[in-house]
Amino acid sequence: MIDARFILERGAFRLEVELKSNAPVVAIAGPSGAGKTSVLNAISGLLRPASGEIRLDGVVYDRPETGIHLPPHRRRIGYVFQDNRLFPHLSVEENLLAGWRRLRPAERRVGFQEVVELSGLGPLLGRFPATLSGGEQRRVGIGRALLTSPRLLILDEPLAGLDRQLRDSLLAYLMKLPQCLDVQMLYVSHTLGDLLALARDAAVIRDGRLRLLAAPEQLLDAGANGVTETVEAGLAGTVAGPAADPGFLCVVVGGDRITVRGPACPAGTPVRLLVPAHHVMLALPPLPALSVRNRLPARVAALHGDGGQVIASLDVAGQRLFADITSDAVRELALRPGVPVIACFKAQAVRLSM
Amino acid sequence: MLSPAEWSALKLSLILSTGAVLLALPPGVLLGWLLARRRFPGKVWVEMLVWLPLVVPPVVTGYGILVLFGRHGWLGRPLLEWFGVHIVFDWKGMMLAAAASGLPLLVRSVRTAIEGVDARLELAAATLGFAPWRVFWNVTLPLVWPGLVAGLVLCFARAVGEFGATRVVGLNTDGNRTLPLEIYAQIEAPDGSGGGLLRLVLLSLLLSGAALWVCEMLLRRRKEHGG
Repeated sequence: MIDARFILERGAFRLEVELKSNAPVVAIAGPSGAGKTSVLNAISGLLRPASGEIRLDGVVYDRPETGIHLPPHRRRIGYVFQDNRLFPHLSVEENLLAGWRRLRPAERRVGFQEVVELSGLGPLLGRFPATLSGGEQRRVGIGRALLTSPRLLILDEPLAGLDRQLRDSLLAYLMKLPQCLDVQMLYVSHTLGDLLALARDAAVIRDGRLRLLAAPEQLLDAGANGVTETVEAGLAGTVAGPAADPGFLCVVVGGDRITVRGPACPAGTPVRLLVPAHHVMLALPPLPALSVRNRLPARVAALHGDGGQVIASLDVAGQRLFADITSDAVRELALRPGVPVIACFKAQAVRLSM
Repeated sequence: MLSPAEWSALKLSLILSTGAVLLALPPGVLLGWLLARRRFPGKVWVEMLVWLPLVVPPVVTGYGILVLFGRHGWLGRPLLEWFGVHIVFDWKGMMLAAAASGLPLLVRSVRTAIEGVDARLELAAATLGFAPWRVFWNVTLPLVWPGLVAGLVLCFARAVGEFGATRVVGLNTDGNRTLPLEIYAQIEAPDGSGGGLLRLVLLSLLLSGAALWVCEMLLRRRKEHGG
């Protein structure tokens, strides 16, 4: 659990940080140059706060007033850098094991094989960083940080600069981490899609202050006028079996069955479904006959935005789903928080990740 | 082929230069790292001090050692009183003189090489649990390896060639002359045996050439290993 209240100062730059959360994934958003990376550097010990206090799981890491500053190498905070920073003179395997070797055997909660499998790095272990693609390097960077069995995993824009397909597979990989490895993650991004798919808690930097939001969806308010990028929800589900048509799967989300495109896999496999908001339509019951396969009973949790575009945040059996709709539709359906709706999306619109 | 005097000159040159490189190595690496990575008061002065042996006449370097390490020098007296060690007018002093004249080249090489290492890699190593000395040993040093080797070879070559400082500090007697000292002695000798002189000159050329070749080989081998 992260509990930080501190002030960063450097020349004319001043940032006031207040961040306390025990959510498995905490998102930090804010415009470029707002100081997101500085916040991460302070928490990891690479930068000293001017005043305040940083605690992790109750242990004080920084308190300038009493001269406490735990050096970075003793913090056990995994840091995945935007620029990877792999050691060029070491093989992938040596890079992965760099931090792992520094731990006493009793401290190694995360195993080498586990990370290699999870990140699919097996075939690359003997290679050198210079010969890897951007996505492969990022995966090594994440694996290397994980293998330090960190108390906190910091990810600085881990999906930036990657193409669409890589983003999806890495996002899926990241979504698995908190549950697989039981580690809190601090996730920085300026892409709403990743943040909303991953985070249970979100903080935003505005006017020199970092503050926790009541709910991650409020990020949508923060940027509502001009949410031009794809907002995506990540739903957790379990494979129920193959669907009627070949190439499709039945997945149970909450208590409901939905159909998605995906390779055959055994019943009971946990999966993540990425549902882009612009593929979700809302209907009021009763429903007419529809070709759309997926219809999830939901409740409007909040409406974000006021101009033409509205992002409706929906509660689907405790999970978040987003629908990108027009304000005209909001008026016609008389949508407001609390209204029960049915969220519909085509089987083809969902991207599945294992 | 070589006369006993020439053999002993070659031997002494090799021993002194190798010793000088080993002597210069720890302070050379430390100073190179300090100058590349740390900011501290008086940095400019340290930098100048390191450069000094390269810019002052070698005779002055030798004289400096004589003054510092002489029987009544700041460092010479305690060395003599506490350890019974006397450095000047001995091979130890000559080695020190050779080390001092080679040090600036080593420091410069190491410093440039360390400045070429991405400091962000060192920060990343810290977050992986590397204590500062381990960051240096496991990350910085392997990455500056070529620069370090180049610096050591330059230092060695400079030590082999050193004349002025070793002449001031050392004994200029038979069996106590390095190659350059022996060459000079033969030039000065009234009977001037030209053949011996030529052999010595070729020998010193060979020595420098060998050092450069070793350096080249080491760097090439490293490249082939994909580092």
